[in-house]
Amino acid sequence: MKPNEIMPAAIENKPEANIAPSKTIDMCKMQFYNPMPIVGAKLTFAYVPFQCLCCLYSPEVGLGQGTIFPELDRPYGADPVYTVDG
Amino acid sequence: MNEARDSMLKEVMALDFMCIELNLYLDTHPYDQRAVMVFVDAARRAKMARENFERMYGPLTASASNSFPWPWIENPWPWDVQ
Amino acid sequence: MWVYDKKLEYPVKIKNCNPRLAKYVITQYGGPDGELAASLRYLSQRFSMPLEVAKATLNDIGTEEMAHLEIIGAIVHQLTKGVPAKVLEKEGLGGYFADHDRAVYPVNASGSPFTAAYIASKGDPVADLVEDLAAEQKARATYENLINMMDDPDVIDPLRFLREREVVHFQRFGEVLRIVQEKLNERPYFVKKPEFMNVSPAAANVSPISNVSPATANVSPITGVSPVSNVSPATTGKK
Repeated sequence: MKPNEIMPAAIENKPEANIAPSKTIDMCKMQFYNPMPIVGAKLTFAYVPFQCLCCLYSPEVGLGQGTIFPELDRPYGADPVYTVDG
Repeated sequence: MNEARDSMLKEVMALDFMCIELNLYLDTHPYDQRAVMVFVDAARRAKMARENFERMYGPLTASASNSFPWPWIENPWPWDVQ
Repeated sequence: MWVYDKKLEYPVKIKNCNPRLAKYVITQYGGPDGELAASLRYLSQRFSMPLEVAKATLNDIGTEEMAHLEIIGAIVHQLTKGVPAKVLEKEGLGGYFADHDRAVYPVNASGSPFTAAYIASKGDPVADLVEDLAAEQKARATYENLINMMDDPDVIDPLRFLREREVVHFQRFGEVLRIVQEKLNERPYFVKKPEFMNVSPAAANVSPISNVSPATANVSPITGVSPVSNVSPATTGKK
């Protein structure tokens, strides 16, 4: 997959839409322009990058993960350093 | 019987959840044409799943009630232990 | 207005009663970073937002938070249903039980009831949106604290879902903040006095009930005056 190729948004309609979330995450990490870069940031303002729609989880996977957008999927416990208890 | 109802309801939940997520995305990206098309398709599928569920297990919104006696009050309500 | 959908946003099926967990989960019902505070905050702030993007986002996220409130209420209800009073007292819910039996009442984890002092509705769009960003992070952190304390996977599952929703809401509010900030800092490139500002008020009034076609019904004094209203807020962000 070339860096400039857009992943299809209709991934949920395909039979292979029932693949595990980890595989769809890897597939979606292969695109390079999410988020949109922040241009013209000024002092004394707060900026959150815009999300760019690429691909979606299937509805069942999305309900299980909590979001249908892989780029917004940040599960608790995935990064052991971040999952701190005391 | 309960498992069948639960799995059908879970399908309605998943499709409705997709509509909610796309709704929030489109609120901040109102000019994303591809997203609008995906939303229209998801809403259509959600409506079909909802109608299938309501035909078998009763209304999911009060305005969808269409039998006697008044079916809206029927158990189970969403927070009930099943 | 609101229409009720007779289903939860995420299924909650708790098989084992556990009042100790209920004592902590209730903070997301009536606590400072809970769903009641979030939904009241967003649904109150939307009245004073200047842009339709902001109004729509606050409206929809506020509505979704009410659905989350219902999920938390269902969790607490299912955790304490049928538990004998002595067990509730032993697990630390004696004070709550004395006042509320096994009902769901908006308190925080220490038992203080909900108060509107938890929310702010400032009227300034940037202040409101930045407060909403902070609220989403506080809610996410609270969910992480709760997940750390839970041991029942039936309870962790909906909490995990709700935590992820907070992350997504943070992203949405961030995007609205970008759009609102850009709009408020835009300088109008021209100031034009519309023709109908010179017309008498009676002729300029468009009655909403009259039989005008949709095309002409869009002419209203408000949209005609501001020269930047034709610039769509979202496209400026997508450059």
